[in-house]
Amino acid sequence: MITHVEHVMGTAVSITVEPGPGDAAAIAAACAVLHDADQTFSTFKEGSALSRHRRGELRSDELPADLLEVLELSARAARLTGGYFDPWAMPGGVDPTGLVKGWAAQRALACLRDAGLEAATVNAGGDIACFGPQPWRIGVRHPHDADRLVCVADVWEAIATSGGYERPGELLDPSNGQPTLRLAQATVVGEDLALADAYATALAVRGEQGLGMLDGTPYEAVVVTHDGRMLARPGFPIAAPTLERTAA
Amino acid sequence: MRRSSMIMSGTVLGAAGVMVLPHPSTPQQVAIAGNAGAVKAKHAKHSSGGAPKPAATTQATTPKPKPKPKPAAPATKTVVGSLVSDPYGQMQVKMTVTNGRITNVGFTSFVANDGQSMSIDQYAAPILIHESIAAQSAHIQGVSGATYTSNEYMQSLQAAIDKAGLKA
Repeated sequence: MITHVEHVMGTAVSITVEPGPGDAAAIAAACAVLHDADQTFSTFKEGSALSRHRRGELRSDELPADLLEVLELSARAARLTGGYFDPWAMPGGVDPTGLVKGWAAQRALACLRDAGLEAATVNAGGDIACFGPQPWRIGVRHPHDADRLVCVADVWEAIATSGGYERPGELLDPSNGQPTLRLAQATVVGEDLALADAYATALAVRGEQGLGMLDGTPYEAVVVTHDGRMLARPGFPIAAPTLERTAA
Repeated sequence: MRRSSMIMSGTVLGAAGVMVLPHPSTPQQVAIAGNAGAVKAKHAKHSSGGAPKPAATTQATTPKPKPKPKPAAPATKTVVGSLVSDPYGQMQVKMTVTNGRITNVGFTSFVANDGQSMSIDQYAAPILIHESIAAQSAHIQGVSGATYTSNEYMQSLQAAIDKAGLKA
């Protein structure tokens, strides 16, 4: 495997690929996609399209295609999570940052796939998109310490984790507008990293009662409660459980 | 919606284990190796056959389309993480990597700040050791956690994996 680490979007993105023809060029293209997303969506850069949109400087017909796509994806995520992930509820105007990393990583991964590589993974600060002939074995970190794992998951497409060490502004309860964290951590696997991340954030805010929001979706979750219990939906692909399983 | 949608529950802190307490005059590797063995044995009876097998057996019987390391002389290296401080205490992770696989994970130092974190770490440390050893046969390839900053990455397990060159 070839591993490349790119510092972008305020985090470190680890890209690992199965070596193949054109792998270096594919990784470079993937990195370019990440930097491009950073330019468009940074809330720290005053000239970014997102910053201009937040200040109301762009007419609707002036919105870049990428921004439109992310805003549409955000609206979909807000609807799917019953408002527990809502980029429009952020203080300071619409802020899809919580979803952009996943979206960008998914796009970067597409570069690697389109280049014909057999297997690849893009880990954007702990949110991972991947493909390959086998599932990737991904450890889920312990909520209290990044150097510990609570379980290992078999991941085919994407896995995202949200928890208390995230920006408080991303964890608002729509029922009262207050920053709320009912779980120590929520991890979601599924087909799209951006939506997996939105679900994970929504679950962390909503609490274990929210696990039902994944019923009938291609997403599954494992969560850790504040009192240290781990709860997993039946379909969550745990590869090497740390804990004894007991019937609920 | 319904709690019955969950089929299993356990406690992250509930798995019994032995405290890894560094003592200035105690060789760390010995304490770590002993604990890892104890935890493995403890979990073995709950395991459904997932216990790590000898590498040779695993390679011979488990189809692994994943790229294997190129045949070469066994290369063992030790990676020591940064000293990490958090509200719970201080610790430093040490990983031994042989031929691109994690063969041991331990701690070179660990200090808990108060009674409560002692109880957390009493269980969490052995969990990591057990999990990482289990992950060895599973060939763990990444770590998912809530988004960290570029600086936090330097102290993450993902960074240790990247740094160890699990590139096969």
